[in-house]
Amino acid sequence: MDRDELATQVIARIAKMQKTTPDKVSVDSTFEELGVDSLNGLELLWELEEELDIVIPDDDAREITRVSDVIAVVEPLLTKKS
Amino acid sequence: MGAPHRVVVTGLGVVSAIGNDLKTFWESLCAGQHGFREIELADTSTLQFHVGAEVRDLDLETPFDDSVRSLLDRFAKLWLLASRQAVEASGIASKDLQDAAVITGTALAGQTTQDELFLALYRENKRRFSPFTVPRIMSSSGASQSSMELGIEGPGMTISTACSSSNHAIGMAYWMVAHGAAPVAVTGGSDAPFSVGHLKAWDAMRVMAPERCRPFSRDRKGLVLGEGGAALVLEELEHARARGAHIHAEVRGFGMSSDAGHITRPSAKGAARAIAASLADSGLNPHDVDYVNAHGTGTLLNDSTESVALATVFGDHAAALLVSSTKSMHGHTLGATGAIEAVVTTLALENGVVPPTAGYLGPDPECPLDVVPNTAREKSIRHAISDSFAFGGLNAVLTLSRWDGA
Repeated sequence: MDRDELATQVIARIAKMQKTTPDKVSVDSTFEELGVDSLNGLELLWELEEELDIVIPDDDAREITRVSDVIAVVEPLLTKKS
Repeated sequence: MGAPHRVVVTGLGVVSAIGNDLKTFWESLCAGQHGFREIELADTSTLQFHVGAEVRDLDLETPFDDSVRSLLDRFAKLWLLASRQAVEASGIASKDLQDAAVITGTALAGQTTQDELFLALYRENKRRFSPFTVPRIMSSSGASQSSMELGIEGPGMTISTACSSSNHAIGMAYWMVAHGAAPVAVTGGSDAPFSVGHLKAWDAMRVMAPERCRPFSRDRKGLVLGEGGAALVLEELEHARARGAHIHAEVRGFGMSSDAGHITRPSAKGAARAIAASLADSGLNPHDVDYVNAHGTGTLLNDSTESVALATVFGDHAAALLVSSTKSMHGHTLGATGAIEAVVTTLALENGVVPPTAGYLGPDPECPLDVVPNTAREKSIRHAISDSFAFGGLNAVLTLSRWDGA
């Protein structure tokens, strides 16, 4: 999965979670702008871990506040896995 | 005992094996109809018992928004559906709920979720769990969710005292309203015991009846577990009158005790102390009481011990009491049972009908009581008590009175 595919997947998940459409979510959006609260954030990371079979370290998870952070954390984990 | 406010019941709600609305529930009780069937929610192949009183034909999905549903264990859903019924039936306005209290009882809380988690962790070697797991398991999740959906900003808490849980909850809610801590309380409880892990624990106690629960009867063989939820809206009398609310009954007293004895063996002395405390709180005399909704689990020991406790408090009047255990129909719903039976007791006072002890085969000399065997009895009753005596000896007894409009 390349970076664009990952971004599309993350955005699709957030859109579904927030009951909106993917065009309302961009890579630069912050969780605050999107209304993603702390529990929703945990839900998103859990779903990505399940889907992609990765483990997102707590230290990285704590730093995530926007969509681009998610991609930045997850992408190297996928590279490492492959 | 000097409480500044009288407290009345202005809303009732119930979900149970014998009815998921108040009308069906009451009709089942009056018909002596039990809800015991083969357990479907859990695999009972490794158990010695296979019968339970499960909630059936109830939609536990669509009544909850997507954003909330995944946060709710089965026990919380049962509570929320019962409490929504009670609040809606009370006709109380949202603004009147802001200062209300929400006090719930549960013995097992989110054990269904916990059982699923253990299964996935230990058997399926699953590595990750939903971040919603903690909110699902916590015992106060029902009370918290009620606070959020009803806009309740007053006192909120959950009490867990095994089989007395929701009687303690209702008693606390009653005292809060009586003493002015809140003008209104949404109270009751729920439990969902049907997971294999939990049922195995009951199996080991060897108190489970093989087919049905026959309280106070000869040849009784134990209890049958049930699940459900029940809720009452308690309201300060003048508050209820001011809005023209329908009043079902008055809560008159509450009493508690601790056996200081044994972790599972019940004590007649402890039970009698709680009954006497409830009557003292109500200001009534023992001979004023017409009806006892018994704890009546159907175990050999509970029913004989409860009979001794009633004789201790009521003396000669015990023979004149109508005593029924409706666990013979809705099962022993653990932390929900006090609330379900408070609803039964309220309806009995309001309708002048005492539901029977179903499944009764004949008298046991150790239980010399009029247990209203098998057939409901029309009888105008003025005052009633509802007993809950828990494993661990933490006892809670409510006293309720018929509402005659004064």
